[in-house]
Amino acid sequence: MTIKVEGHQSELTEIHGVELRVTSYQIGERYFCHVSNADPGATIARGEGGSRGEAREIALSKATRRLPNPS
Amino acid sequence: MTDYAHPEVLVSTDWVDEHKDDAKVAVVEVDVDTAAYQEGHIPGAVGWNWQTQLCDTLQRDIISQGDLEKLLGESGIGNDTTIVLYGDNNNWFAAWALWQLKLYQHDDVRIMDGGRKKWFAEGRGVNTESPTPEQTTYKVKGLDSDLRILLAEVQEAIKSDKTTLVDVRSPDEFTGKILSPPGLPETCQRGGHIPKAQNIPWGMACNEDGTFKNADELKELYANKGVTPDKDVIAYCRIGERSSHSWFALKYLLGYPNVKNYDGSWTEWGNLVGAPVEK
Repeated sequence: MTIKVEGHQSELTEIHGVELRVTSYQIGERYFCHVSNADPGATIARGEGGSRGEAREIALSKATRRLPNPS
Repeated sequence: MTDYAHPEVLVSTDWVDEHKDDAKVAVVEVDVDTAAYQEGHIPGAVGWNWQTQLCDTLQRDIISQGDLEKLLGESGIGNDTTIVLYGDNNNWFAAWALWQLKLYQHDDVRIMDGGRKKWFAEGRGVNTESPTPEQTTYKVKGLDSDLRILLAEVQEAIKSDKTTLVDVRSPDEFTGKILSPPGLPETCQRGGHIPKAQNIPWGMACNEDGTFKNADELKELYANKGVTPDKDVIAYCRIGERSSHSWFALKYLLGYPNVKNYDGSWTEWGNLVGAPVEK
């Protein structure tokens, strides 16, 4: 079944001094979020949930754990 | 796209939407993030995994001729098929796949300008069903070794004034401040760059929507760093995939006659004992 992608959004943020791109969108009833390093753009973490906020929180929380904390 | 030297190698999202069901067109997604395809992809698109299907998984090398023939056959692709590649991150690994298909002399292979990002941002249709194409028998025509350069040739080439190197990594990788991009494992012993290289990060060839910049902008981008068509150009990055993207822009969008991708790249050079390094 073909479903249209909705609400594609992209923003920059920073975790532990690393600039990151957060991309999220909706496919059907599911929301997806990817966190990538801003350059070159490789995915560091992804999240999926019933709302954009949930998907975003899962992805950012994983990214925070995976990126080295300089402190 | 008409101001490019070879506009036929790029297709728009509109073109793909219109032609994706054509019998002689195969749409293939190749992502940096190998889980992305399962989330949703262009209906009918086959997914290739760059980590397992577009390389030799035993020794470090590109895919072998036999494995490529098998992959294409299983993907329902014949020698006369138009292959349209697209992927995440501005077609980073789609360009890697195109480079290998050009090496093995597939006649008609193109990139969907803007890739997955543009398709998704435009709110186009996707599905999660993996197609089951009818098996074909694919026969590689030959190998165009002019598109690839190996270590020994790079070591020789940098002695010539006619050669220019384009390091397409980030400025922090180029200067040796970091050994690899944030969040990715370290894979070299030394940071820095190959002597003579110019730093032109691969993403500078793209617009915000993931499409390639126009020909005049690309010409200016490279010419400003002395990367001109009269030179023998070698593109490299960390493992040869980002540089496939810049190689594509130089070779097909600008039509530079002598452009090679050094897929050994920094993970080879930066691990060599005694190799000259600049920071």
